[in-house]
Amino acid sequence: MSKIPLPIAGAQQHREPKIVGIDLGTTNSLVAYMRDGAPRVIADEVGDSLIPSIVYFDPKGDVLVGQAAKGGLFEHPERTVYSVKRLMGRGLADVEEDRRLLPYMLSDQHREVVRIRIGDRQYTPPEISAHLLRALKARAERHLGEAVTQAVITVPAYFNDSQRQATRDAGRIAGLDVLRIVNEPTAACLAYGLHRRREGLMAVYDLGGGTFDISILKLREGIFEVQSTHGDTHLGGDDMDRALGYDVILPEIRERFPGLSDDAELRERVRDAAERAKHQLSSADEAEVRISLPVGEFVRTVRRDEFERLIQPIVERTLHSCRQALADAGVTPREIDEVVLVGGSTRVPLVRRRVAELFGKEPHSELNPDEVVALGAAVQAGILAGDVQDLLLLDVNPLSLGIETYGGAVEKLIPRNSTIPTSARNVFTTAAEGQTAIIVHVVQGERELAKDNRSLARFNIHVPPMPAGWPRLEVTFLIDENGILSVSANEHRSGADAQVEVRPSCGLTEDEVEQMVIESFEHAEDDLRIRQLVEARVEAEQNVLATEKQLPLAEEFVRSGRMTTRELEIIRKTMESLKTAMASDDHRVIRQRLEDLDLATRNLAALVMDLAVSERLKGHALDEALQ
Amino acid sequence: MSDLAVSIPTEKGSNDSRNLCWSCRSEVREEPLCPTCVKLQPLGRSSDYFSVMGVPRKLGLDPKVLEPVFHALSRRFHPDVYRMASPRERIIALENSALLNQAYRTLRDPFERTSYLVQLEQGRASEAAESPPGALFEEILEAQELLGEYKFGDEEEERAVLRARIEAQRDMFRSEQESRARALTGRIFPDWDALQDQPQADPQRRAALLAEMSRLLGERSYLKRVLNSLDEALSH
Repeated sequence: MSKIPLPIAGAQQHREPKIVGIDLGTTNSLVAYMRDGAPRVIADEVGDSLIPSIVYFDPKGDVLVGQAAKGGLFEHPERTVYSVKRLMGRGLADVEEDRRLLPYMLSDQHREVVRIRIGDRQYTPPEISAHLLRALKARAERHLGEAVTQAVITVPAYFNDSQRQATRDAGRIAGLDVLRIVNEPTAACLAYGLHRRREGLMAVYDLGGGTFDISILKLREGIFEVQSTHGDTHLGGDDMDRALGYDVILPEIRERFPGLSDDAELRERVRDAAERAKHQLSSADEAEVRISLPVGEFVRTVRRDEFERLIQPIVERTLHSCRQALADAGVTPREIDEVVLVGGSTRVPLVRRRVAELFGKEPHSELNPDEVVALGAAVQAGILAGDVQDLLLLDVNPLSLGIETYGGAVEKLIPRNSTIPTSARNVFTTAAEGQTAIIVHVVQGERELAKDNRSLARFNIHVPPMPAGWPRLEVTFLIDENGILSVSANEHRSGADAQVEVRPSCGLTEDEVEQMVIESFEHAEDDLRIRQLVEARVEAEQNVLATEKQLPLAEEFVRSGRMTTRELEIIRKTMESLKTAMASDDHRVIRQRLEDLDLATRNLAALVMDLAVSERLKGHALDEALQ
Repeated sequence: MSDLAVSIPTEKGSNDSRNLCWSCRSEVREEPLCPTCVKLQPLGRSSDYFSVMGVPRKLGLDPKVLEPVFHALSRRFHPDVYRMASPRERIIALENSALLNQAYRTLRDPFERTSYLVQLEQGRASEAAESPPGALFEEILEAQELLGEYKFGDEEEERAVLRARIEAQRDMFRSEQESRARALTGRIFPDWDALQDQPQADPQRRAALLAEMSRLLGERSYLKRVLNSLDEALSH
């Protein structure tokens, strides 16, 4: 019953290490890879491909991720982090609204990079995301039977530079070399493009848990050229849950049960009930919300039309973005050949209906909207590995890049929707005698004033002392294929490369990331232990379930004399002791009991197999007789 | 904030010729790959956009011709293709791609293309300044006055009358803007391209055409700004 994949002779010799594709989502995360020219998501033992993007820190310092962390949502909401993607690359001022709604605490001391307070420890969003990435990495390693160190990670197309940097930092902390950051809608388009092999104009409408993107792409002879993109990094299915949960259900509960304490746990249960109602309303006309409270039970029916009225403003905001993207691409909705839906929130009927109305055609969703982004990330990994030869992705920067000039105005250097990589050059000089440094303040956004845009960084560029206006400092702004900015400078009078110091407005410095990488090594042993424990528990659970299912058959075998009563007794006993062992913190104890059960059920397994074979033979005989 | 950078316009043009391969030091000309060691060569920081895309310095470029050229060159330079290459080649790929993308963005739009050509030919640093068309001076003043009245007017009836007048003016400015666009693409483009085909172009004719382009572009962008402010006021 060994589950470790065996190396295939000969095939191992010159193989490049696998590059995986990762969809690091607000609600769920997935990992995929290329096999035989097609992308595949990697599922767990029970066939589940989604890892809930939830991280639970237990008081002893252990960390649980994904399904295993879900229980924490209700039991210890203040120690359970979800929707961390909404906090990536953001400062405290950016997340005021989220902060009121999240059950976990943010530190007040750090304004530039949000820090999440769990007990007496603090974590940055990239560190939390790194836990998710480690779980995905572990899943891939288990499936592929080799170490995975390189990945393509997707981000919303509308992510700014800080948010992209934060994602790359998370990868580094998790021990992954992030070879490429790819925009989610573009990744989805790659998956569809490979799947359908069609040409023309494609619109990708991507509504996830916390982010919305629309991208318009032109497909031609294997080139995927993004024409325009628009979106909102703070808009998604979560907002629908909140609209129903916090604006409707919560006030009703307070009215019906006055004096009920309004704590994080209640809010979380209300949000969860609203989310489940939303899921039901995707196929049913009404859904029942049932929340048991210490003071009684709250029951209420939500009709689909009522829900649609609540989420109408959210859907309209996405359509506004669609119109903007179409205008930027210089096309009308009717000129779009195909519309593709991505993200779990596109299962909401109102969303599908309004999108169909806008484009005047039925949208596609043949590929699972939860999986398509990860599949596309795997295709891009295949392109980088040289496994996919004919496809090339030409993406754009979602937001204009500019610099602050005197008076706080913005001088635009690179307009939005420019194909990347791209660069701009500007020559600067000094305003004061003997000035030894100049500051270039880079902002991202569409507004006229620097203060209304997202501040990316201040670049401190050193110059030799010279009379005012004399230096000629040529500064190059380069946006690479990942949409990440770098700045270099050259002083023309002296011909020297000028030293550039970066002060990110909303990100971690190089040193901070380095420190986190080191810390993650220190915790790696703990992480491994927990991973092994969780895996053992999951396997134990499945084995218990499988054995329980066979018990009626076993009793049958005892009756027919093919098995002894004593043998059945042993199976029951080893199963019980495995159940007890599952509570242990030591994976080795669970593994030991698993082996016991395996041994005890060997004869039973053989008998079941024989039975299945003879049933099958009987079936065949019958088939032949009928012919 | 006294340290804030002071921006000065950059000069365009001035061809930087490259001649030796950075890797094997053998001679290379315009080829993107070294004929000896097959290493990717830098396009040269100041190569002009027309030569980057391998098209003549003409204005009547067909976007249907440019697109396949862009795609073919993208396949040649894109960093995704050079992931396994040496660090130096990867940097060259990144820089070449960036230059190619800028070239395509500029050349595929007829007005950006013209503006770029004027700068390149005149060796000027910045794009043609916006300039109010002299013949429309009175109309522009009137539009500004109307906008002021409309913005601060509070009587519905009066505003409706003003609105109609502003709309009429907007239509007039729009057709003026379009006439400048037509003058460029319909008249100047073929004239310039014909001049390029002559073995010995008349330098005066050349200068006159460039000056005409500069004027039309400046007026067109001025009108564009007036139109934007009218549209914005009307949308409120």
